[in-house]
Amino acid sequence: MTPPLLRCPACGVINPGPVRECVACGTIIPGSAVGPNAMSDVPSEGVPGATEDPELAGWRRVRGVAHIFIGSVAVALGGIGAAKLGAEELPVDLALTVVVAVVALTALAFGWKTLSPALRTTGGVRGLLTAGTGLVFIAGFAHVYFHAFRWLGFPFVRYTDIYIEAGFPIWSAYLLIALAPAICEELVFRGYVSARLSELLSPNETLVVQAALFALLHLSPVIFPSHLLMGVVLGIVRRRSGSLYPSMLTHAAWNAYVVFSEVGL
Amino acid sequence: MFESLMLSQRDHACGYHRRMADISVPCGICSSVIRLGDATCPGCGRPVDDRDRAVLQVRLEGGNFAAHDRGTDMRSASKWIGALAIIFAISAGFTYFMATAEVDKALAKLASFDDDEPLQPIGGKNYTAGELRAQVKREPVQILVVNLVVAGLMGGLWLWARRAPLPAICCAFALLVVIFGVSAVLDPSSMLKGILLKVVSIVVLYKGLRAALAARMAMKRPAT
Repeated sequence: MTPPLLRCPACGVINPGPVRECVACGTIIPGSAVGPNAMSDVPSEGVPGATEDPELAGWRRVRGVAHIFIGSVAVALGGIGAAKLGAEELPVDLALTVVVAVVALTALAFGWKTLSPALRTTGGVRGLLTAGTGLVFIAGFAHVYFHAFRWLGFPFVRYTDIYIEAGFPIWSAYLLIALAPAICEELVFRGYVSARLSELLSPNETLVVQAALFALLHLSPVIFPSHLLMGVVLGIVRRRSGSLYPSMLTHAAWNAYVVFSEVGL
Repeated sequence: MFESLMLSQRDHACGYHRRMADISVPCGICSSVIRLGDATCPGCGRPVDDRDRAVLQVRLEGGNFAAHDRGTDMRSASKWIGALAIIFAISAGFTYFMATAEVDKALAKLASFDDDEPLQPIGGKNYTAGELRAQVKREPVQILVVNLVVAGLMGGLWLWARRAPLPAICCAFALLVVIFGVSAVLDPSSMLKGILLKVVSIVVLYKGLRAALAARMAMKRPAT
């Protein structure tokens, strides 16, 4: 590998990299290997081309993911804490739904450049097929997993009770429990988080890490394995379809099935 | 003077490049040279796998102090994940037996009630004596399952961390943050239990995460 030759814009002398200033006249060369606009492949460390502190460069790529994860965990823990302190469940649940929506919109705003291609296409027939296959897989696995869950006597949370008892119509349960989380979580995890992680990790690593973060945010070690698998399946649906809509559809359909099994239509 | 300066700079850069280019591993399929930062084999096009990356990492560490330090931090974090898996597995058995002893005491207190007899509400829920007995009997198994699930996850992450430290340490760190956070919120008195272990776990994994992040970036070839 040969170092790039940089022509000084002031005196025209050709400089060998890495130089920040022209060796003849001292003018700062734009795009030099050690300047702020570095673009040559002369390394500071590691692989040729790394021109900044690798830790900082890595952190720059994933800090959005870290902020979203830590913020969401804090909010979810706040919700649990509020419920434990005797707060009404319904306002806490609605507040959490609003916070999740705000997080999703923020992720959308900050990651619009990377998310927009996946939002401009529906995935077509391939998307529908992958969404259907994903749903069948999730439903099959969840039935077996939650059967074992019930057999071990773990308490089941009924998501719709607080809405129905408060006099909300049934369609609002579908909206707030099935549709809204599906859209928001897909935008955040299969959208923003996956896009950010893929700048640093391989596709398969990205798939597992986003699914792990998705599962962890449900804050229960017992349902972690099932949600990890759901996250992986939804990530595969997203990847194979090239769009976020099929994974939203799969996620919403599964949530709707859970709501349906509790309250019907 | 001017020419010698140019030559020395070129030599310096070329020497550095040569050192980096020396860090390579032969492809197991076509024997082409895979260099640091390659995503695929330049000969046959197969993706560079974790084993290749591990060999490249070792060779990189041999000639670079920063890379060596990062490698040490990553290996410490990986080992600590393995240690946590063992700790959770041991505590699963320990807490199971402790919970079983508590169950015996609780069942002795409930012995005077008939199965259909309603009890005072517990945590806002109404139980009959029979339901509560069944619930109490299941509790040790539930505790055992939760701890074993966490131990299993940590064990899996330890295995993964040996091949791909960054994603595995990232998942382990997030898992620990959530476990510590949830247990602190559900039972604030548990915050100080095993505080040394918690602090050491977080510090070691944080250092490992930073090192793995830097190592991954250092091995990444930028887009041209």
